[in-house]
Amino acid sequence: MLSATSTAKPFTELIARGLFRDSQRLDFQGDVLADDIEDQLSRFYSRGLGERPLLLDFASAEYIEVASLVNCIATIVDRTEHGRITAVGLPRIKSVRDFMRVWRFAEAVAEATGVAFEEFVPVEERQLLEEPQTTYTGIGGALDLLEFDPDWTPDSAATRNFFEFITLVHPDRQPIAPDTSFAAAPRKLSGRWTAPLIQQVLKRHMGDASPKDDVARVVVYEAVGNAIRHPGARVIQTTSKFDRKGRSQDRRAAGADSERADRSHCSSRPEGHLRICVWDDGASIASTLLPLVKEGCPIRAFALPSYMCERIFVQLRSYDGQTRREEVVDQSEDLAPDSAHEAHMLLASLYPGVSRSVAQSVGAVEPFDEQRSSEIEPLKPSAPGMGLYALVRTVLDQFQGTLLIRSGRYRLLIEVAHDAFRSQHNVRYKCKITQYPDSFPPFRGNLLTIQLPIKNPA
Amino acid sequence: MNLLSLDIRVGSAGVTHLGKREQEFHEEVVRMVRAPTTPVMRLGLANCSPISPRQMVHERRCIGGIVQTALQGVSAPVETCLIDFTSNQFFVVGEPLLLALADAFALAFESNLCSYFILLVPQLPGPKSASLNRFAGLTTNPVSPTIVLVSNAGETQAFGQHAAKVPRSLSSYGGLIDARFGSPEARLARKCVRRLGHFKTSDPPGRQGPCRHHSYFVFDCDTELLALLSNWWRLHAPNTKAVLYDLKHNPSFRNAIKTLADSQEIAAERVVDALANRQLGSLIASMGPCTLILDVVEQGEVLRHYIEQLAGSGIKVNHKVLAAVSKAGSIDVAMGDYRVHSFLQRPRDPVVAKCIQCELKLPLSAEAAEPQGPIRTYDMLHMANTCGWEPEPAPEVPDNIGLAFANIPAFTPILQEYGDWLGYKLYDVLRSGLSPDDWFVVHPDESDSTVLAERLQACMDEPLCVVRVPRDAIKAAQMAGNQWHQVLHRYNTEFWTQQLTSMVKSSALILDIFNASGSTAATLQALLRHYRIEPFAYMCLANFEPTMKSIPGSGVPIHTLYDWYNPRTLQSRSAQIPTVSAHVRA
Repeated sequence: MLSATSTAKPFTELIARGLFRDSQRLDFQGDVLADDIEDQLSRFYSRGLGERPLLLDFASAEYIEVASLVNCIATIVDRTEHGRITAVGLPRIKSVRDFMRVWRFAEAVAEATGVAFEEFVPVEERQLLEEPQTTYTGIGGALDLLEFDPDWTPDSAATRNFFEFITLVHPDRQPIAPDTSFAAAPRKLSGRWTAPLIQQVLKRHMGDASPKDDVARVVVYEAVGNAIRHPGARVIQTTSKFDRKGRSQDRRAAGADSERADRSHCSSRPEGHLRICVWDDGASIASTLLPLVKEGCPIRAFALPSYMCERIFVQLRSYDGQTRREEVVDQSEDLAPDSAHEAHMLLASLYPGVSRSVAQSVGAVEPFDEQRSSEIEPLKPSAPGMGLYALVRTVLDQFQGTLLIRSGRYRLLIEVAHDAFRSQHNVRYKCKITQYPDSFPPFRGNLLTIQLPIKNPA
Repeated sequence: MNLLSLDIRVGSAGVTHLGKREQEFHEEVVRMVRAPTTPVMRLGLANCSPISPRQMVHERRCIGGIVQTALQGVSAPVETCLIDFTSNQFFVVGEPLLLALADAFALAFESNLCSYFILLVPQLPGPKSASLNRFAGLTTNPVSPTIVLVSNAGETQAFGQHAAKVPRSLSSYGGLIDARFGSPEARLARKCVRRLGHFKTSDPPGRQGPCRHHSYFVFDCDTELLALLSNWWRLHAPNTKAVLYDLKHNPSFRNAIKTLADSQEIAAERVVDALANRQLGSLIASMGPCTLILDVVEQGEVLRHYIEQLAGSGIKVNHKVLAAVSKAGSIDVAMGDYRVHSFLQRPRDPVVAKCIQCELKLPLSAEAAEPQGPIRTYDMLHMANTCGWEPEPAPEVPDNIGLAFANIPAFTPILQEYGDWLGYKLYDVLRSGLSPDDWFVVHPDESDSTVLAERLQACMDEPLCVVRVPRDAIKAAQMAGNQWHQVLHRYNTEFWTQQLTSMVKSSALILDIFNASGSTAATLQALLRHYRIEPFAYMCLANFEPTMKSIPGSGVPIHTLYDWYNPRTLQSRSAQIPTVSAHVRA
């Protein structure tokens, strides 16, 4: 079933396709990437239609990238909380609907908004929510079983689809705090990635040389650990997907053709990708750092040895693709109040040792008492702000993948600089930061999309 | 050569003793890595070093303080400092934790406290990880600390001054790890539970088997089953191209089979799919004889049924068949032309002429999953009648509170016979959301409670800290009106008080075999509050005072597996309350 139920009911109007004029209908055709969602949203907002009802119409979609579903949820949450009508048109193709069903998109929308998914579906299509899933059978290799467990029952402790949306939300929708039971979230969510079956799939598709446990230990753990620390977050969601070239269900796979590869989250790899998305609806990353820097508070507690700090080629550009500035920055740079701005802080969040917690008081380290804590003062360095730094090292250097952060008015894409580019600019990484137009509402929360290349698509 | 070793327990709320086995393990590792010419002499540290779940989130730098304090606590310079993470799953040994550890090594080296560090980790971090980059960066000078990482597989990664002398791999290290944590067979046996219920075999479809009172299931043992399956496959089916399985109640085994099949590039599908999907059936048939894997084998009816059905679809089955559990009397058993090997052997269910549960119209139990919640009266009485009744053991009677029970179920044999199931039932409640992130167990230091805590630990992958409080201390506190400060001075050198001192900000689970008046729980709760520790629940197998839903005078809930009205006759209680034996006679 695609349906999911909840208690709240925000809309007094019955949602029907006739409610939406052409200008209020975003028509996603063929392969739908996260960028397609944002491109069409940008046009919608630029016409000053933001307060009008909006239909995210997937009727003509033939493939939907999993990150684009997260993007949709962030949009729906934001618009719903602002009292703006938003609807989701279901794909005409059954296998695409089944993809949404098996990934539990409906439940994810309901859990993120507190509103039953059917409330977002045009009335003409609601009968589709009841149809049975027929595309995924679990027959085939280990990945097929991970995507759909045919023996799953609602009593099962595990999920039916290993990669499906998982939502963390307080029962009464209070903000998530890292010192509550949510502290266990990084451990619980990353621990799932250590079981032999997913480890075998990682080994098969990502090659023998990479340590597969680092997907759990670093990628998932640190991404979720970062999300639970964002102030004001009430919802955290994770989802992931292997996109393999040559599979009908993964048409876009790695596939983005070269012209779109640059606009896609990551550079093109012919064999496919594993995408892991972690989204929270809390304060944007830059907004937690910028005020501190502007006030002259430290966000970096110590000077790191030079071998821990890398040089990054940064291209800052507008949403229409025009380059506004190019520069090389060093992760050891001084984060001065007068030069700090949102894009800069977003990038700085990846530097080693940078964290807003540095500006906050640091208590004694249990079980050591106050007297002893003074003895270990020299050991405080390397504590805060190392999570995203470690994540970048593992994703970019270890797996040769990419990290995309959508947050506030910016999108940051960072990857390893290769060969000629690397030597030409004497940098280890290259980073594109895209600024969204003022008409485009700030992105709701923070979305980390980690994309790891698949070496063996079979 | 002296050795300072720290056994780090990530995710544990408090300290536990470091056993002789662990200490010898550390000494042996040093001998393997450094091949010293003088005997290895271990310095101090009788306990493991916990990093609580809260510290994992907020204070991952605390590992630096732990190492620093340990090194400063010994008088002589330490020749080898060994940090042991092997008790933990690798994914909790995060990069920030290893980076903080690197800083601690650097500081210890600069302070002349130690220059040789061995770090035991379940796996080596990725070669381009932040932590290995940091370890390498620390050791670039000609005079630098030596840092050796060793994985559970015996691979080493060495940095620093003496790195060249470290073997690339330690061939016998894997044997040490197995000896410490148990073989896959032993670990699997701990994760196999025999549950009680009212079961009726419905496999294969259409078959009306006899009712059973027992059903077996294994849980969270994908790794162990994969190790056993891989070994069996290598010996008995190396050339087979397909596996068919019927394991709908055993997802761990199903996952292990799929994992092996994926790595060997062979097909592995459900029997039901091969029979229902003609295309799939033909494909399997074209691969030659397949290996059949079943959940439980007893009399061979399911095996014969599937072989016939599969033959009808043109699929031949290898003569070597595999099962998770054998109830056929032997781990290897011949059934017609087929030989069935199982990983576990369990006794066959007794054959009964007629099912009492059916006569009592008790509903059938779900075979698929153990339901959460209390056990049935039928099962409680079955356990008691099977294991016997006895007077309450004298040393465990709180005679300052009330009278001893004349007749209660003999919990010692009950725990021996059914402890796996009872422990799992408690674990299932805890993991479903009852337990906070940072918790430990406290219970009266009595043998049955100890066994129950051990059964609980056997279900868990993470280390569980258990505090055992002697009954004489509980009685002394009760005589003092639960004013622990009046009695604790007598015990302040004992390990259990040291444990409690180390557990500020943790939550406690009070555990006991039964609740009869709430007095022991109330006293343990007072003890915890003396240490500013909040209990989150009181769990017991049986609650003889079912009207009591929380510990008296508090909101701490009581969770029990069975409510049984039989409160203890208190010294102050005037009315005589029926005893268990009276119930039984009635």
